[in-house]
Amino acid sequence: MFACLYAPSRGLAFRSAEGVPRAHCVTDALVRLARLQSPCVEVHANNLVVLDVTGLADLAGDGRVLGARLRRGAAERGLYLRIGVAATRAAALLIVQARSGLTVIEPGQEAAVLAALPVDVLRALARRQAQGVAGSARRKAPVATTGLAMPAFALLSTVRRWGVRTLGDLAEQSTAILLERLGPGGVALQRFARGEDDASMVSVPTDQHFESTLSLETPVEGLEPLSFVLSRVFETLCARLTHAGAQAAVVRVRLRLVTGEIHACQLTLASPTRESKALRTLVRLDLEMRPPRARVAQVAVLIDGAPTGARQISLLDGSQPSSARSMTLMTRLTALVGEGRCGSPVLLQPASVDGFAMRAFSPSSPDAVVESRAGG
Amino acid sequence: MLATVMTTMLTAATARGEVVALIDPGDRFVPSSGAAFGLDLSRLLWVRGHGAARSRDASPAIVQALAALELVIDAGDFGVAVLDLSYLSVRQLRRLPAATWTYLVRRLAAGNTSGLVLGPEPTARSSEGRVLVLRPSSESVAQAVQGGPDTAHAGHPPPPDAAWEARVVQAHRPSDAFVVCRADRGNVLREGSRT
Repeated sequence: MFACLYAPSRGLAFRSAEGVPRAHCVTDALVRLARLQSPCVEVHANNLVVLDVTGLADLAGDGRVLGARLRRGAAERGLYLRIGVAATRAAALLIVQARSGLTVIEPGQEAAVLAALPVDVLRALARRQAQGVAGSARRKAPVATTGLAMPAFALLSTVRRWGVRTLGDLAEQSTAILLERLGPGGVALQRFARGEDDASMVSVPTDQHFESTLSLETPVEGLEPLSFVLSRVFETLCARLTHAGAQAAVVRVRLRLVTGEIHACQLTLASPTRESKALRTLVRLDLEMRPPRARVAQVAVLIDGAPTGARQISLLDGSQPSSARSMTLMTRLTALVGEGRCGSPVLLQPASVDGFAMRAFSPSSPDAVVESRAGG
Repeated sequence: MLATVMTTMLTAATARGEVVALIDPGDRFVPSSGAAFGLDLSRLLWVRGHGAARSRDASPAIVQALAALELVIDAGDFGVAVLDLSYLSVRQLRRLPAATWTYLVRRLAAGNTSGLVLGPEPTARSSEGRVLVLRPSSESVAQAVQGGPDTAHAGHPPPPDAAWEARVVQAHRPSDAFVVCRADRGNVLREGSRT
């Protein structure tokens, strides 16, 4: 279950109790409010935050209880918000674009509730996502990966010319035709209109940062010796992450070269991890694609932490690849066979042989569509 | 028939809750037919090559597919890993050094992943592994001959409802037992032994 908190720019959130205007960005306050209910929080735009309470029903209560608690918490902080609670993140995000107050969508009713909304809510959401996140929240949070901006801006005007006026009209279009005429963006747009999620949740990192710098007496050249150095750095960092009960969400590597240049790379992990081997491999694969242009004199790694997400594994089912191992495997396979050539196939229409989409391989949860093909 | 064997094996593995991998350098797998068979596509890692028509020299594609299979085996936790080389000709397959298969079998033996290699002829045979030889049954061949020269020439695909003879070959335990089954339904028509 997901809840979306949104403070409209002209809303009451920007007046204090005495009616005095205050800052127009309350994203940090929304993140703090959301964290009281769940550690899994995602920032989509300024004043637009989603929290995931899946598996926390005993603590958070059902949708109405959660919504009421969020509204009460917001009112205590002087924030008057639009709150949407739904089984999918897309539905929660869209409903707050159109309705004020608290809206709770019963599970399974997402498409039916969204059907009456005008397609302009997609454009409104895309515009907010395209503006990004300003202020201190930007440093704390990677912007969510479910950006609607490109498909919405590029394709919505086309869809409107077809006579599509509501999300229901868009949801009823043939997926195969949308894929054929508009490409994968059209399918992404339709999935959003149906209230279906396209990507896994990216948790907001905590305020904790973990940094380690290693100056080398003898500059190293080539990836193999650099890999040894990275191993040492990541082992130290992962030990600190373990002590802090955190995992790596974003990894930033800065290599100071003998020429004085800085070679930097940044990895935003699809699933936070603290396995040093996986982190080192991911950085190494990135460096293989963009190797440093000179010998490396200093290695600095900065990790943005994310709260540990405990997951109950099944004692009866077969063992599943861990998220870190799946991520490494997918990165290696993508480097080997190319982008969009590996993953799990998903049929666009269950009874159709016309087309399928490729998703990132993740047996436990659906993930982002990376490539689509018509004609089987 | 090879596709039926492969899909059955993958479907059974996903039904047990395992995750499976299909290395498909020929890009011949059809997800909708797999789903119709009951295959849980969300548990399938599908690595697609660029197809047979892309290049006349198949060696780079095979090397890439073997590297992908090795990565899958290294990752562990996959119940079944399938390498589909059935689109290749016997000649293309024989260009690979024999040590390739010995190496592959050793990698599989070290982990928990079951490997299945599909090919136009028995290729990856080993003392540990099993080779399942599939060929149209004598009845199907006889029917094809009666159907006229157009359907009987070498290399012509048998009809979907043709009967196939399946025989398991073991290196150290010779056996001539075989079963005859239909490709479209997979049901066994008869069992027997040939000397």
